Amino acid sequence: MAEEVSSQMNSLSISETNPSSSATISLVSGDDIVFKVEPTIAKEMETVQSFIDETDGKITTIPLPNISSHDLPYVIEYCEKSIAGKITKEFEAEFVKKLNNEEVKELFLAANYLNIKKLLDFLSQVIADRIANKSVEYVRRYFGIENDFTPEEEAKLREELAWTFTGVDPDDEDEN
Amino acid sequence: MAKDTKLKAMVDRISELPDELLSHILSFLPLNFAYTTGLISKRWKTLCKLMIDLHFDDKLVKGEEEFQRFGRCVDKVMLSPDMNNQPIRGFHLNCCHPELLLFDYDQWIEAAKLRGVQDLQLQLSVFPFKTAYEMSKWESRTKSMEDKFISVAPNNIFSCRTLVILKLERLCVAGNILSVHLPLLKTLHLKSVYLQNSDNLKKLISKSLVLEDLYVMVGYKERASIPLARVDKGPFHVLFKAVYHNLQFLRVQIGHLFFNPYPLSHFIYFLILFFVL
Repeated sequence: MAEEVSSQMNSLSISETNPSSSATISLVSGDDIVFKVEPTIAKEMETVQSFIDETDGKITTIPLPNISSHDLPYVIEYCEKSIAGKITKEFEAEFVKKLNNEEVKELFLAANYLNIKKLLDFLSQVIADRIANKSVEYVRRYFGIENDFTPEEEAKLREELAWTFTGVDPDDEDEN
Repeated sequence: MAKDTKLKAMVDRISELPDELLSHILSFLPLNFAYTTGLISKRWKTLCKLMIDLHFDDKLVKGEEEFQRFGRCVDKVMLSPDMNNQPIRGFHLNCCHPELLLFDYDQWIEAAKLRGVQDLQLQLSVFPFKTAYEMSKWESRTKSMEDKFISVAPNNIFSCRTLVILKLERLCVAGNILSVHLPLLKTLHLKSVYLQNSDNLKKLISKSLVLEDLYVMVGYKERASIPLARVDKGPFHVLFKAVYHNLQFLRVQIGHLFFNPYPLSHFIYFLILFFVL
């Protein structure tokens, strides 16, 4: 309940900062929270923009069932910075600091769904940085993947891939 | 409990991602580690072979032994029989270890060509040496400045029908460029690149017909034959004649001295630049 209220406040504050209400686009998250954004933000989201184009701009309320009200503000924030040309190393570092592993994955899915190439590339790099040089077991846990090799198959493959091994970093504490 | 269900749902969504997207993540990993992920599951074993951008960078490689492993890794990815049918888009080789000479890097480039590379970038900064000993070891093997740059075979690089982007930095093109076939090349950057003589540059540029972005900063091996006073406008006329309507970006620096490590020569070089531009 508290979460819902804070999300609504979030959406309120966003609509307040964008007063030109006639032209705004309403993005509806999977849990039915409405986020009003400038059309320029929608342009950054190819999926949304193509939806608007298809209906000749008549429809300005766009349901995004795959994206939660928790993730959408992050996406909007990134798009706003991107339009303002303010995606700096510092911004990216700050942005990513706020996100735990689950959120990074959720946002990656959202960026893919909305087709925002810059955000997708950025999050790919973030995910890559978080799994780089970790043990195979850690990466399996990170993505929630079952090992479907038999022990014999795995041993054989480990031998084949011996050339790829460098030092393995200690695993981070799992967050989930 | 609710959180568990949500996580499970998300895990499923991650594993539902198409192969292209997962291999896209792999392309941001250090290359050898990207291949290590083949151990994750049967599906991931095939994913790394789908990677279309191969970026090899030895900046984290320390010492001769580790470089050997790095080199063998490139060998494996580029030359092993089960890889060479996989099409690729990008091949970047960023190397600063002199031990690169122990490997057949021309063959790596050839393999990239055969796999349809569109974006080829080589940055072979064998300098700087970390110790005087390394320097002297190198000195004894080479005679003049340009010999200290790694040489690549010209006909390997300048004849590739799929290439769209070609960026070369800090290397030396061995011998004359005999044939140029770059029908799709839009971006050509030559940065601290040694060519045999200015004819080679003319040939290269006049035959790259669809260029849009050109950056030239070259030196010539036959510098003795070109008097300093003639650090001429000749090449520029050729450049401007050769590169016509398509060109959107042009940066040119041509000199004979800029590889020389002495400050005075640098100074002269910049004077020349100023004069020419």
